[in-house]
Amino acid sequence: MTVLGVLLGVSMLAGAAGRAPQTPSPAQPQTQKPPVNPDAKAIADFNERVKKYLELHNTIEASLPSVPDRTDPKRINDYQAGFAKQMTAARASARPGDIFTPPVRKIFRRVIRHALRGTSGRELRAEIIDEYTRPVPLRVNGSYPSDIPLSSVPPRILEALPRLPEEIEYRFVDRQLILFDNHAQIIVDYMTNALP
Amino acid sequence: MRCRSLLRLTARSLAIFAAGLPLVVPAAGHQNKPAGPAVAITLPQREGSLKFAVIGDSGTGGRQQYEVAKRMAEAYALFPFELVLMLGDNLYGSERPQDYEQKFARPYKPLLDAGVKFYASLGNHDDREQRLYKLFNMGGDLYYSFKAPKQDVRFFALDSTYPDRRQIEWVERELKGAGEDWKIAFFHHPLYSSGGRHGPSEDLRKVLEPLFLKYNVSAVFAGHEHFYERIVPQKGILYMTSGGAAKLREGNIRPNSPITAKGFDDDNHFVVMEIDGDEMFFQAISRRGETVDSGSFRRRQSDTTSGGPASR
Repeated sequence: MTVLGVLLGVSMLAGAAGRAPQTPSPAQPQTQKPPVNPDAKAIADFNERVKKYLELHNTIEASLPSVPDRTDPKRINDYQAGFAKQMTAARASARPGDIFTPPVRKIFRRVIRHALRGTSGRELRAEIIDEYTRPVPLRVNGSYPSDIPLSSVPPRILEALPRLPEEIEYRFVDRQLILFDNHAQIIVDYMTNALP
Repeated sequence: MRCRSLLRLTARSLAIFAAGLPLVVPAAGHQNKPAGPAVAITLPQREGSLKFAVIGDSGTGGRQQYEVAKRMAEAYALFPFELVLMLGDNLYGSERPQDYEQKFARPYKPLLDAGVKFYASLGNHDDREQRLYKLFNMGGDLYYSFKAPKQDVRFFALDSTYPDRRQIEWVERELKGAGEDWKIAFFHHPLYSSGGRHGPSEDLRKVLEPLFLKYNVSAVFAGHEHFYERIVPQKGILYMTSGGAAKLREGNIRPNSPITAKGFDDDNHFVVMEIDGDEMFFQAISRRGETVDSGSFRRRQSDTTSGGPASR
């Protein structure tokens, strides 16, 4: 089970424990909705927003001239620039927090902090920050500068966070977490203070 | 640190002087050949063997890259290797078409013209879309495997910058399904390292090494650290770091590291290798043409976790 799963499970148990004294009276109607774990709800919402982004990504990608798996740099550059331009136009109204909603940001910070606890976690945090060489301007739909290395994301973090489609990746920029479209090479969304 | 570097430089200069070699730093772009002896190949060069080279952190487009590339061409003339494994950071900085040219196609032109195939893995400096570049032979994938043209060898190129569950599941599937005697993984971040700047990727090791052991991987090559380091075999696996085909972090190998079998952080380098049957032979060559490490290694057997020791 992932760290996220563990935390959600604990949260559910905590919720259940909190309700324990309030034994429903036999008089209560049987149609009462089951309690919803707020974390699970937020993650489901996150997944839904990612899915919607991916649908747009796929629609635009399908409209672009196809690029062979083995091609030359000019075609790679043209494809990438065209993709980014169209994605940006289609998401002109996108704002920070559209995908990393406030409840999701809260959960992610907690999950990442949990994954990075202890001595090994501190070392891992240093490893992530290690590749941060200079500030990257964070802007939704902004391109990721090619002269800045991408942070490596350790398995422990990737295991802890909700799984993404292969076109989108989590990456750290200093302490910030971004959603990175690795085909269009744009920042889909970002959240501050993701790393403790 | 500065004093240590000066001492190292002095020691090297003395060694070069003692060897009667010209103590000349080649001027950028004006040298046909970096100073130093001609490359001499010490590998056995057996008939039918698989011959290949390994480079890491190569894509600067700078003088050092070109000089190492020239040494590789010299080595090729003596030891015609079929392929080159690239351990990531294939293109530093901008990645315009002219960068692909300057940082890859031009320095390695003699090899490319000779039909040598390069197989890239991606580093943290690499644009993800390099996967589409025809001369990197990634087939559009961030991670992939391929069977070597000779001997019973399969290579696995992994993306160590983003080892998500999807990739780890793929690694397990691929390793499990591979029937080759030799399974060799290559990627950017070293699982073992004595580097003072980066050090090992221990979290990645916890995920990958059990799979390497379970499915009988014999050798693992990585870059990222800008030096050469052959690790004392770990659980029977040969780990080698080769991240100095253009970049160099001089004096960065921690002295007296118990896991270093051989380290070289004085100059840039590349590695040539040969596999014949159960044996692998390796030779690391510096930008100056000197052999800085060589030896052999026996592949791990499927019924044991112990491989043969690397030896000089």
